[in-house]
Amino acid sequence: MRLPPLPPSAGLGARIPAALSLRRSAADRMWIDTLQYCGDVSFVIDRGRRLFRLSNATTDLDPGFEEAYAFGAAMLMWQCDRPEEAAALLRKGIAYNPGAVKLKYYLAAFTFSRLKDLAREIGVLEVLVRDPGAPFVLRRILANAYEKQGRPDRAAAIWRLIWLTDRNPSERRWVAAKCARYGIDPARFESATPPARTR
Amino acid sequence: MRPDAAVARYVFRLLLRSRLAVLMLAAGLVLIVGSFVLTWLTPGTERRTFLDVTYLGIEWMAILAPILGSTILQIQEFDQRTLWLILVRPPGRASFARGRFLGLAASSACITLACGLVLAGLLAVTGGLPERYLGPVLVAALGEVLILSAIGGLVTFLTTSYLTSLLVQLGIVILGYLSPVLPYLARKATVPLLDPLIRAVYWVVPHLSDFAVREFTEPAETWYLAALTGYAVLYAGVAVVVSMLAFRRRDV
Amino acid sequence: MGVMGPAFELAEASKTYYTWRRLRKTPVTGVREVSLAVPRGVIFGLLGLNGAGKTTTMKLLVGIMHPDAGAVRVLGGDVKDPGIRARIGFLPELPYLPLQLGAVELLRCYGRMSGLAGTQLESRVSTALETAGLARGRPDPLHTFSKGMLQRVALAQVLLHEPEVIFADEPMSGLDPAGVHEMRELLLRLKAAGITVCINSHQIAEVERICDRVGVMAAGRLVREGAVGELLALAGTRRYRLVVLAKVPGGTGWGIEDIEVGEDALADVLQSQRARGARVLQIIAQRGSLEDVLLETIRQAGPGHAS
Repeated sequence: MRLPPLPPSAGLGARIPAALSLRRSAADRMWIDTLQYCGDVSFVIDRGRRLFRLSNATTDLDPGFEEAYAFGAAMLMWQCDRPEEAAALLRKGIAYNPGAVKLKYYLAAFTFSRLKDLAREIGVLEVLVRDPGAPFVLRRILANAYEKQGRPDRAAAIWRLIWLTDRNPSERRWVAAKCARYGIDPARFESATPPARTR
Repeated sequence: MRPDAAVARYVFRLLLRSRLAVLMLAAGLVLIVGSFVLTWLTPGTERRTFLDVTYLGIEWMAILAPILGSTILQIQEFDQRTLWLILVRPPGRASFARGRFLGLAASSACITLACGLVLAGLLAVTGGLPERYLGPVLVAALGEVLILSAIGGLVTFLTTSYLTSLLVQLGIVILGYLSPVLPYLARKATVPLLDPLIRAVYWVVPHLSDFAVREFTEPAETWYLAALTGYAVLYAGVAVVVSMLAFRRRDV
Repeated sequence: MGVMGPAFELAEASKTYYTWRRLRKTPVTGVREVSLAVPRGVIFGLLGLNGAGKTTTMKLLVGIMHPDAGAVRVLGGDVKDPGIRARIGFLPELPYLPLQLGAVELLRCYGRMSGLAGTQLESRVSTALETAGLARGRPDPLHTFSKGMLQRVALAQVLLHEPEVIFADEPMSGLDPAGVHEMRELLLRLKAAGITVCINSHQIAEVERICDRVGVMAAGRLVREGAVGELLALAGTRRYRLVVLAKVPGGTGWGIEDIEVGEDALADVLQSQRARGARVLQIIAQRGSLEDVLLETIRQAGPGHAS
């Protein structure tokens, strides 16, 4: 029932909250730091150099924090091109959470991506994207995979989903840029009823 | 029991009418609003963030309400001497100590439960129920209320300064949460006298880290909550008996 | 004392406080070997300078403090007995009341602690408020009350459970003349109803006026105690006022002069007046007051007894 002990490598930043029964709160704080870092320009400049350390620290504090593993691994794999770190993070998550099927799917998606097996990679990504807790970045990744596969129509469906559910200006700019390559007007996406999940 | 109940009723009214209740409820509201704001920073894990912050807040209410309540009582009873007009009445000192504990625990429990109810209401409105951790968190929080109300009574009977009693109670809370670490520190102590001293502190302070069920990977089971409640009742009982003895001969 | 025994008594009661000075525990005498027995149905006054031990004595009698030595008994029993405490009332010098509650609410709380309940409690609350001169209807918390009204609430809590003995510490302190009159009348009514009243007071004129017996304390000891009349007799006739018919100095007529003279100088003054041709019309003996008794008693008690 209790959280597992901290790994020997955990620093004072983790040990003090742990001693005061504040591990989950400290993990939430690290999670916020992780998300803030990924939204910052420094993330782009240093290619996500600190992301593995942040995700590792978050999951040291709360090894059951599946979203932290998933998001960190997805970003490391597809945004930062750091597949070894992504895989290490996922293996850690699976070790602590053997019942976490989602993380195994992520590992599968990474493996297929590294093996350049686009079809299987897409198959797994389609399953992962349906999870309500999946990182929003996964939709971009799936859309890119459809594009690479030569199926812009399915990619457009993802772009439409992002356009209707995500108010983030940078995401919308990305969708607009993609649509422009295919001569699609994103404003036409507004006519349909938006899906439930929004940001 | 009637004298105890009369004192308990008096203390309960006193605390709920004091600024304490208003302060704590305002703090609870700030916490809930703050947790909503924090969820904006954690897209995809809004529920987790909201629940983690509010559960922590409920636990802090359960800690702060008895500590602040006993400090307010100490200021009124000893500094402002409202105790004189109680001691001249039939309830004896032992009865006063028991009734004071009951009144303090009841008022702190009400404040804690009010926060829990607000959380439950918000979850119900946003379709977040059922929430499996809520019940265990509230049971554990009430256990902490019992323990800290008893400690608050004891400390305020042993000290003359409300500032001292406030600091001592906060120190006990911190040591209570650090209790799992104390045996490790005792083993690592370089000065020979520190080992038995730290071990003694370990046995005396309440093991509040056991009450942090919000940290568990699964909602705490019934047997665990029953054990926690039993521990809380036993610890509070011993502390109340000691406070009865401490207050017996104290001049006011 | 009668069959029923004294209302309250102390037998060689002592109490010492301790203060910390320069990291050392220093004893300070509160009261020292005080023995006193006060019969029922009287008003007893405790006099003394500041720091004499009056309030300490009262705190021992109502059970707020425990004596280090000796015994304290009220109504024949130990004040630690709840049954005894149910029959006594205490009016402190300042109204030590929790200000966040309302008057009726607070009195109900005190009443429950005194064992009252239901309709009896409500009736007693109404009666106590009426006797203390407060309207029942006001629901506001006590921090909105004036000082005078707070004192009335404090008085109401004393009367709530119809005690047999009332201890009042400086009951007239801070009252205006109308308030003093009211309090005096109330204390006399309580005595008429058979209630024993013990008051500490600096208002010696009032003590002389209403008390049947007084005790004088100095440096923690009870140095004198007795009926007011007995103590005034001790004061004796120490001063005289002479009304003298004498020639106006530097003038041709005669005038009336008032001369105050102490007992020791009386013979010399009479002789000197006769020598100057004056005629003594009246010699008026001025009775000593309780204040004189108090000051003289303290003086006799020795140095270190004035605060």
